[in-house]
Amino acid sequence: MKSDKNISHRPILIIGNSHTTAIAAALNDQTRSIIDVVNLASFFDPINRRNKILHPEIADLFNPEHIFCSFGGSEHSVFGLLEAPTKFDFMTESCSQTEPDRDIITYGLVRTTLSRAMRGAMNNTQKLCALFNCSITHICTPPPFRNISEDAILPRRFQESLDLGVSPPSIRKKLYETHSNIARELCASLNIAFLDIPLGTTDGDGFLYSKFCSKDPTHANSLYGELVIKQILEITNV
Amino acid sequence: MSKKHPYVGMPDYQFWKNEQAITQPELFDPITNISFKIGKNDSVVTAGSCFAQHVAKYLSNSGFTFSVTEFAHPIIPPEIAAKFNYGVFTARYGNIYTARQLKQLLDRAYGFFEPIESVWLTKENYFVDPFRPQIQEGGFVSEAELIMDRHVHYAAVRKAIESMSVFVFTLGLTESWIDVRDGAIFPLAPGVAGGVFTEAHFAFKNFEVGEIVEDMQSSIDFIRARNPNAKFVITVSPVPLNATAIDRHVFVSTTYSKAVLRVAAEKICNDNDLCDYFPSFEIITSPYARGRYYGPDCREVTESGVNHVMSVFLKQYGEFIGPDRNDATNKDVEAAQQHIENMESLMSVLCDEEQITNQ
Repeated sequence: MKSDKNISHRPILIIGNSHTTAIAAALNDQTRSIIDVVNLASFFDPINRRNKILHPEIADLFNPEHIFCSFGGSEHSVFGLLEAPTKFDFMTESCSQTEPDRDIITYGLVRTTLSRAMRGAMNNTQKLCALFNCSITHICTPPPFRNISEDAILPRRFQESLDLGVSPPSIRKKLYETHSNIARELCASLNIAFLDIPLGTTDGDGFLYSKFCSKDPTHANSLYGELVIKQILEITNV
Repeated sequence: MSKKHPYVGMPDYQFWKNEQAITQPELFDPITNISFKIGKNDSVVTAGSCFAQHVAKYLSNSGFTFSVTEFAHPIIPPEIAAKFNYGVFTARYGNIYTARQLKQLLDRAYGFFEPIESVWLTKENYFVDPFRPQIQEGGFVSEAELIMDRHVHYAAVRKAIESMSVFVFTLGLTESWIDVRDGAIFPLAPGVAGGVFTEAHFAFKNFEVGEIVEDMQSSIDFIRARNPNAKFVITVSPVPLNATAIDRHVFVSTTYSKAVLRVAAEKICNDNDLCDYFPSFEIITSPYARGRYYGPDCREVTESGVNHVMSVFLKQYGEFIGPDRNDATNKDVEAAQQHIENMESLMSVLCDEEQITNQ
């Protein structure tokens, strides 16, 4: 039993990278009393907010009964939110259709490349399992947006890259599904649960409804965060 | 004035006792006549058994223009592309152990042969190409993906054939497995890495000298019909058989197989201009080496053995020593990897700014 008086005894810890922001923004007075939200970037590097690594000291600061983690989650966007200089597409187990006039990459290559990009997030999840004995659940990354809104708030550097164009929705969705499958398999290998996206947040094709989209093209908003908190409370019965 | 006997005046290399490698094995160089040199800009294509992989790797690192015609998309990191056998050979055909396999690869690439066995399923329910069953780690995700990839592969084979200056082919095996219905030859027996072995469809085949010579001649003619200036270097793999399907010791099958391949190579090179036999087999297996070029398993060729073979190759055939090339391809890869780095950087900016607005 940890005895440090500075330790948080809130029963739920949500920890991860930028996708925790939507959840943090959705906390109210009641949920704030039982949920800690930690964004690795600012928690361990409050000035530059660039940290991506889970440091072991985290175990000295929290003593939760349940942990929900969302490490990484943007790797598929790195790979395919914007068009690559040589446009590509790929097939999956469930979809053999590809966009015309593109180089086709095999699924195995896409999957292996994405897996490699997700190594940092995987390492953090593994570390978390080693540091805490409580139940741990991985929160699925929010689904892709069908359209990248013209009034999306984009950093200037991002807008400069837009001349390559945004990848077609079908490709972004396949990348997202591949990303989620890899995360699911990691969870199974670590014997931790996988929390799927909240029901009713996607259209019939699996894209996030625009009401749940943030102003940038990769994150969900606080309305989506509210639904994730609701899922968590139902699971934990706290 | 007549000679005392016919050996008088012959060069030292024709006499065993004059060989300097008896005392200095590293100096062994059995090359005596070559019919061409390989220039810096000559495009070299490699294929053959697993020993040919060493040849390809060495060529690509030693300044030869090692031809690669089948590339991973430039967004794929090079080390992952290598895991999926891009650049191991000129195209992703995998190991080509027999002359018949080579002949059929050419026929398939140009649409002259469409084998009955087109797709194999693994026990994990992935799809593999029966003619390169280990080319794709984990297999293909669907039959459609496999067929798409095969089209890309065949185009790469055609490009290699039509653009190459020199073809280095390593003969590896005589033992093989054949589809009795259409004569298709597989690099691995059905059932080993996919497919289902049935005696009604598949049979063991041990090629003889005449068949190998005929198949190689057919391939040389096929290539020269499309690329009249192509030159050939034929080698025999020094790697012993991993297994024999014949009821006898694997080493007895090995000596038979290598003897047949060596005789076939001799005949092929005697019958064709600008077609040289390169004695990599001899460099590795000669008594001068005293067995030191084989690894602990007595089968794999050591790095020093490969280096000896290839330094002789470079000395004899290379007109130069220079840096790596394939500049255009490298530029594509660099541009794509730079794109990924930019995107990672942009995502961190994006994630950071998102944090600012929501908190």
